[in-house]
Amino acid sequence: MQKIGELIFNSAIFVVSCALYYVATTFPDYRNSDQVGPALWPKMILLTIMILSGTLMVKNGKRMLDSIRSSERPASIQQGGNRMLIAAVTLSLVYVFSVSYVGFLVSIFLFQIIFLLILRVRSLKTLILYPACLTVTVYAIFIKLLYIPLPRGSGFFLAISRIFY
Amino acid sequence: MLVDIMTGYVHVFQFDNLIIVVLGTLIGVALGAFPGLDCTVGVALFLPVTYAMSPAQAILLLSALYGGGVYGAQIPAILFRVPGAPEAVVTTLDGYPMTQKGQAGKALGTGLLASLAGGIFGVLGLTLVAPILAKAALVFGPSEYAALGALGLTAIASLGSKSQIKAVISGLFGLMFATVGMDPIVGFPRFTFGTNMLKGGITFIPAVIGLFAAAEVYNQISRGLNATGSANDATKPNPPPIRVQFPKLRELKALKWSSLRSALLGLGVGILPGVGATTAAIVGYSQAVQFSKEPEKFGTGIMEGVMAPEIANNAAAGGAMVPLLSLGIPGSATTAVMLGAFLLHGLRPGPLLLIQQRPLAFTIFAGMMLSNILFFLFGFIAIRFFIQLRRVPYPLIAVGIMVFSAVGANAMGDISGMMMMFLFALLGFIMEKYNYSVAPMILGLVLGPVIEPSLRRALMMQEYDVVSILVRPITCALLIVSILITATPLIWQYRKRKSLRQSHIPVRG
Repeated sequence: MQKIGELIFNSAIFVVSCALYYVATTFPDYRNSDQVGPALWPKMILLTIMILSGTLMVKNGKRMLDSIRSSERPASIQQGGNRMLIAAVTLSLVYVFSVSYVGFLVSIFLFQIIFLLILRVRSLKTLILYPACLTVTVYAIFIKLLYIPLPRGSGFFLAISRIFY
Repeated sequence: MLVDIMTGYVHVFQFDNLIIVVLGTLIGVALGAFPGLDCTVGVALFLPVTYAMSPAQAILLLSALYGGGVYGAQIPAILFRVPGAPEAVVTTLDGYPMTQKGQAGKALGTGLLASLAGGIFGVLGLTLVAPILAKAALVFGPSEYAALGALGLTAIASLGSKSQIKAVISGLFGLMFATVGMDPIVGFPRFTFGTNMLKGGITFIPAVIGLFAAAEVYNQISRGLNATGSANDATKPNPPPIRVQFPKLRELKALKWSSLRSALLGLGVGILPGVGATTAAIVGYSQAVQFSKEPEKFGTGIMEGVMAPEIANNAAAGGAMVPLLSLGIPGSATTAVMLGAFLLHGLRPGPLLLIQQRPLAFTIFAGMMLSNILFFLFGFIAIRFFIQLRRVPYPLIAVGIMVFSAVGANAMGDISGMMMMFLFALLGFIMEKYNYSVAPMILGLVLGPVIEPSLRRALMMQEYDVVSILVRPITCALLIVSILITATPLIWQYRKRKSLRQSHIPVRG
């Protein structure tokens, strides 16, 4: 599983580098003001990444073939950890995309409760008190003391945030 | 000069000034330890507070905050792999593995002592050789900066403990990410794909928080943790008590040359305008790796890996004040904000400051020295607080890290900072899973914006004549050192393999 994953990751690096190299070829020339131009440096970097990731892909492929020949068994997968991880990453993405609508205070409070549930915390006291305390701490330090502008949300959530900051 | 130095200390030990230095250091250590709130943010936040103060008190507060902030960042970096500020990113590389090996007390003690030594060295450098060093820094042109960046990059190969190719790819990722945004010379938007979010480039702090702090949470989750704690020693439900342990005299003696080199390099890099303590830490760490007899041990949790970057970044904090005070040019982002404080209080830093405002200048030097001694004391309090956090079950710590990572990333911009933080966390997690070290990427991210524009500017200034760039003495010297540093381990490896091969050839009789 690790070997297949690594091959996929190296292939992804190679493909993305090729795509970005193509993007770099579309950068305009500024021969009058700068003969080097904005494309040369990224092109050099991308070309090196392509060569190195290509080398790794070939190595990975060889190793996989060897393991198939020797009928090596794939390592056991930590199912529980993987499920938790997928849930945690999904929650993080949902949080990032919803924070501008829900506002910081409400979203961070809900984020913490769901994150704790994902991490198998079941005590109701912890699930309510800990996020509440952390949210109040963040509110006191970052909003009240340091005046850092955190997202307020829109509509109903904007009205709620206006009560606090 | 001795009289000036004494006058400076007399001013600092006046009750009002003393309180200000104490408060500044305490706040600095606290802010430095918070992810996303680095020294620059701290100094900027407290700039308005200085309105009511005298010029000397204002600069004392901000410089104490600066010194404390550079130190404070290392505590969460060592204990939780969460660098409080970019300056401590390199400290994470060996500090956190030491914690995982059950040597957190030693890592914290080493970091504390290294910060004190580096800080004192920086202030001594500032006090004694400020005007001379500042003039030398002016000799550095674009080609010298590019060569200095190349010297910093030589550490990449050593940072990949498992695979050198992967380490180089990771470093190239960093250089590539650094190209995102407006081109530094012609202003063309590169790899922004029409989005405003990427026009300003990849913001460093959200990227660092994501790669180190949030990625570590995903790592722990993927290993499968339960409600009581996780697998590693750092986050066990009942971890062994930590006591700050200073390195033994024997250990310090073994590291004396490495420490001296780090201090000198840190001071030197700090003096260079525009290159701050983060680059100093990287350069300090890379020299330690390159000169070490066992470079492969770096990144696995060794004392020298904490000592070198911490000495360098604290020495750089003093060094960064040199061009500010003697030339009026800020040496780092933080001193750029401090320049604002000088102007706010009707002071114009530059050669005349050291002549016309001599008592003020020496009061600042004395204040910075005192701040270094104070953060050594306050460090114990801060460490004690963070050690208590280790007793908290890991799920709660994980949530805390995610919350402060999100707020810290958001504090550096807007929601785009938070978005970048989560994307980098995911990238960092995948990279670690497939044995790609993220440290070289940080190196690339820091040094990319130094190397590319400097190289292009140098080429423009020399009318695209590469030879005339290479024959500049400092550039040439720095490049030769870079080549030697890169080539020497490869030659050693080749010779080692050759001798091993020869020893395996059966002797024919």
